[in-house]
Amino acid sequence: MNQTPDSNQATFANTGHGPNFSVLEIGDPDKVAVIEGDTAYWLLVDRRELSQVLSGPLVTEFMERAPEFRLEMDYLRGGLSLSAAYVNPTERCNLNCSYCYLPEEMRKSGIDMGEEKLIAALEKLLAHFRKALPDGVKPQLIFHGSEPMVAREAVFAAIARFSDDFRFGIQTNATLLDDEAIAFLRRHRVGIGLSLDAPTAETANRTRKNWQGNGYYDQVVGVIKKLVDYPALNVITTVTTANVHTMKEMVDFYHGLGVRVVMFNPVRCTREGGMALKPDNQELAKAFFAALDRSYELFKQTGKKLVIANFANVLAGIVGPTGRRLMCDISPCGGGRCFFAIAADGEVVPCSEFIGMREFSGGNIFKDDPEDILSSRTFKEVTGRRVENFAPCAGCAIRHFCGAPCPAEIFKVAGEINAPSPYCSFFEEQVRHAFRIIAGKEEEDYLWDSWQDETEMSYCFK
Amino acid sequence: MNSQNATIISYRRRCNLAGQGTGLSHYILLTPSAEKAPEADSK
Repeated sequence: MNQTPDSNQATFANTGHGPNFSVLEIGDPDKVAVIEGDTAYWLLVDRRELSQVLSGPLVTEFMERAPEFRLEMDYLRGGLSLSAAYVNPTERCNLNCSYCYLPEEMRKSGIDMGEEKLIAALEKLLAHFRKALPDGVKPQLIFHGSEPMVAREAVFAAIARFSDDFRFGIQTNATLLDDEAIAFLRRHRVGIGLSLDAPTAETANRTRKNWQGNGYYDQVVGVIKKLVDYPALNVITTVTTANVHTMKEMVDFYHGLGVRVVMFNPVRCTREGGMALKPDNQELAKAFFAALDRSYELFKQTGKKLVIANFANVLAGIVGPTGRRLMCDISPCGGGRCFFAIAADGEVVPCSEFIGMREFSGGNIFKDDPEDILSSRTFKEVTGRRVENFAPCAGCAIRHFCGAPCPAEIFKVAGEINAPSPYCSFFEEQVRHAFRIIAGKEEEDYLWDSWQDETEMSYCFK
Repeated sequence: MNSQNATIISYRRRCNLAGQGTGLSHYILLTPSAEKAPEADSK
């Protein structure tokens, strides 16, 4: 922003050198939100007293702090280094879930990377991370799918070999996790993400089933019970038309089991199967908020918190933009800059969502330098996707609380990445809901427990 | 400014761990605290 003598003397919002303050109706009887979109600055004010924040000392105070907020957003949106890699050690999966974003042929009869090549890939990644990351920062390596436990031997060999070098995670359908595997993952402190879609076998098995059409609900619940005491467990529920009506019950179910973190991820429309199961945004919002309300109620009743992590991340993005854990809800998203994904044949794409979309390959981990992959044209296309460059996001007040995810999904839906999310209005509702929670000063009840320790107050209007 | 205090809420927190395990996609939440997880493989 060009500075003129007048710049620092702005006392009115929305004219001259003053900031552009958007007013957001949040559905609270008393308060509305006022947002400066570029800096993700916000305030909540009594709706009858809105005029007092559109001029005067508050505007001056904002103008003084704006450069600092802007720098923080620039760092979040462009200053982070690659610190995680998702690795698919096999293309195969023992399940055939209706909405999977990976091509069916690949999951049915694809290739495995094999132990030798997996070790070679991790050696190469480690060499890159040692050069790129500050001392003491351990990179993250997540085995992902298809189903990584199909390649158990190779995966466990890699974890054993590099356990001091990476913070490991595995996202698994849990069907191949026997007691020996669970003990191994616990011993190596591997983060474990499990997938389950409903509180009853009938609904859960409708979308998550094997190639013969049989579900694994009982087995997955059995594994969750064995792991509930494990601090690095979380569960993912993919929300579709088949289970959206069960979200509130899911909260009771998970809370009853003792699960502490869950993600209610709306199904990605990256493939036709997912697109066919996409819930209506308003129906989804209603069920999602009922689930949030229930988790809050249970927390107040029992003192045990079930964090709904994808909502907590939106909330975190508002009250502390750099405190986000997940980088889907900011543009550019984390794909191709904070993390990338390696397919079983070594092709590297910005995120797992792009696996099978060869037009987004940035190179091959067995042939190319990670540095060159990160600066490839295809990666630059994704990392250059900024909400201010396309409509309607450019003029949206909550553009940095939503980020218009996800480019892979949008590419499949719209034929280009520079377009809004098919879940746009769901994000709008989530942000409004988050502001209602902040207005009630209840945000701590929805955030993960270490939030206060991980963050510090950098600004507080007094 | 004091007269505004009761009706305005505005604050911002800054992360001390930005870039250290905070940049993941929507699949699995690896937490820094997992590093301190007790070993409990006998359960």
